[in-house]
Amino acid sequence: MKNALLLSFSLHIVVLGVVPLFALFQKEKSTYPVSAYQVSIMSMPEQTVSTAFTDKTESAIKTEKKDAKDSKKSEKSKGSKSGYKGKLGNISATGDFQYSYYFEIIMTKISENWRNPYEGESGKISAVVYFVIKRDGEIDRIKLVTSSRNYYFDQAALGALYATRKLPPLPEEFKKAELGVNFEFEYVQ
Amino acid sequence: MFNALSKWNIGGATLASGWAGKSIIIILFIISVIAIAIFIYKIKEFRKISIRNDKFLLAFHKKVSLNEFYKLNAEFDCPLSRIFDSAYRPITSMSQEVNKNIKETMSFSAMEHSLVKEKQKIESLLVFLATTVVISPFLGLLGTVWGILDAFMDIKTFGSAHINVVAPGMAEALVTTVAGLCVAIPAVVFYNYLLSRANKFLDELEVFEKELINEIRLSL
Repeated sequence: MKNALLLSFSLHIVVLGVVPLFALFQKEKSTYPVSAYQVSIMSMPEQTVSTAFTDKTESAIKTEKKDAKDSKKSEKSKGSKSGYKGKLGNISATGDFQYSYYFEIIMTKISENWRNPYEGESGKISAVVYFVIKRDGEIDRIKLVTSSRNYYFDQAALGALYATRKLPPLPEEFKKAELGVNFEFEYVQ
Repeated sequence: MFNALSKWNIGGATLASGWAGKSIIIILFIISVIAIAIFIYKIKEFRKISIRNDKFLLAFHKKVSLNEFYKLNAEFDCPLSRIFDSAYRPITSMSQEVNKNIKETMSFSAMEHSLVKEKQKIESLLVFLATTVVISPFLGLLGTVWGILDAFMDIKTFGSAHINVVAPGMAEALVTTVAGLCVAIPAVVFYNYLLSRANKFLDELEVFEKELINEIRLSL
């Protein structure tokens, strides 16, 4: 019986060791195969939340005030060279990209889909997400660059991008095929 | 880097789940280890029994007389041989003058006793597998319900019913159900297999008992 127990235990360890390998294989195939389904799920409750916003309930007003504070403070903070500072935080693009109006559109589009889940005591929290905008405006290769060390905040940041999925096409004056963007989600209390 | 949303990232989801989820996963792991160990142990035992029983029956059908065979019996060491031993021992130990009926009664009662003991030995530990089959999905479900409870508490603490708040909690919660089913499904297969083999042995024992009763009646 002792031998059987040992054998069984080692079998379990082997099986448990093999399962995470599937995750590695899945990673190689494509960047985000599952997320396509998540987009539609995520966009649904968004509408109900935004209607609650227009109702001006007590909590909604509070969050608005916080957002206002947030924007003031983030404007003070330093941005990168070819970037744009907005309500959510900073955007910076890879390479030369001069068209700040485009950043403004991105900012509003993504902020529509972003809902801050964090309501902690400590002052500032931010997460940087990298993604690529294709010629036709499709968002691709979403990746968490700097974690906020808060799981829900990170997921909300990624989720906002999955939900947005499609942005307006890149400006015609911009010649490259795609644009890499570092998008910082910032929340200051 | 693991994709946090990947369904294969079970380890990550387990680590992220609460103490209830973790402890249930650990309990399920221990149950699973024991269940598989019992399966391995019983398989070995059954193989041994099957080989020795066949050998014993072959020798038993070739025998000249019960008395002769009784002397050789010790070398077999299997359920059938133990039943035969306990049945024939009273007859050899009693003197020739004792009434035939008394010898028979003594022999048969000893045989019955030994038969029950052998049956219990064959069926032992199978109860654990049967319990595992029933209990592990329930344990998993308990963990899931607990996790969903936590997920709804998160809505309160984060002040938002956004899917990003609720979904991770749900995913973490469902891990325990996955674990429960992963333990239960092999256990069902193993239990049914072992039960069918055990039933075969029990039938064999009962057939042999009847055969032995006739042989002893004839020999006396």
